[in-house]
Amino acid sequence: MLTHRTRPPLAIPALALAAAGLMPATLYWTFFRAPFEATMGAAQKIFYLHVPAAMAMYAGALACTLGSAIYLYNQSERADAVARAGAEMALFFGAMGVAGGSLWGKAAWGAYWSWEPRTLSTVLQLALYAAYLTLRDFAGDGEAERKFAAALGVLAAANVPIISYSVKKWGGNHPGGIIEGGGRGLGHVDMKIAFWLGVAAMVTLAAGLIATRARLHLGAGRLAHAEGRALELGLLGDEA
Amino acid sequence: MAATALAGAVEAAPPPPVYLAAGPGADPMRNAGYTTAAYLLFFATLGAVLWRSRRRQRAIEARLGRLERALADAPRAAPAAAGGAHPLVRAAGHD
Repeated sequence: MLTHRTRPPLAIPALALAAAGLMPATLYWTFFRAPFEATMGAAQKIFYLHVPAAMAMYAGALACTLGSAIYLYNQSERADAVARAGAEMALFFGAMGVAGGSLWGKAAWGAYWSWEPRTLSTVLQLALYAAYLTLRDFAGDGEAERKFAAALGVLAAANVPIISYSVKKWGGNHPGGIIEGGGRGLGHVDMKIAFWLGVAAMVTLAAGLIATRARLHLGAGRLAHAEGRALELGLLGDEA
Repeated sequence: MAATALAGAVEAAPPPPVYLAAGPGADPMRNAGYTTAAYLLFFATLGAVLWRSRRRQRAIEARLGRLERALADAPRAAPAAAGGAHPLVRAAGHD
């Protein structure tokens, strides 16, 4: 056998196991325990996906920011891989949050899209991570490109507090204060349990996916390095 | 009966709901299609992300394994003939 299987670090199966336990519990509480909201009915159940996905986006943004800052400081391959994986997961969970919010908006407001501050600032955040990932995928993998992307990864964090405070500062249709107010808006204890289970499940899933994708990027880096060495030795010939 | 009990529980919960209130809707299943679409979209996309990541991880590991084995054997093997790849790399199926 010429394959080269490496065992994943313990954190990955541990996080996968935790997410695999939390996700069904969230779905159970969401659909079988939490009551229907008085005015929106079943559409409000999107809440238990929409807000946790947004929080998972913040987790990805945090990973991207910290990884990028550490990479700028010491050029660590691991930090670079974590930053890239964080951006990917911020984009994935952010897109899921926006898509879920859009469907909920159609049910509650009558429109998929509303030009309101929180939605706009979130989409801007997604555009920043899309730009980061486009840079990583198409601009080469040299140190200059990595540093440029890392700077973008750090700067993208500046928009996160704007998303958070956009509801308070500029209003708009989007409700606020549900989380900041300690979940007061969730009128039933099972609503609160479903919500916090959703947050735990989604953030655990995000952490597991970040670890998985970071491992993949580290492996891709090792492969590129090995190919470089093979080329130097003339092992690849014209095939490279 | 249950609706009355639920409404009572909501009223008793301090402080009062400010945005989302649990309670009996006129038709709780209205707009359920949007909820179904949101959850299906999420889990389908998550499945695609996991599947692609796993496939790419396996491809990287397989190729890296072949390449590292060839590199480890390189000092023991003859240099590549002019114009061709190393025999061990060809044997490993590198493309």
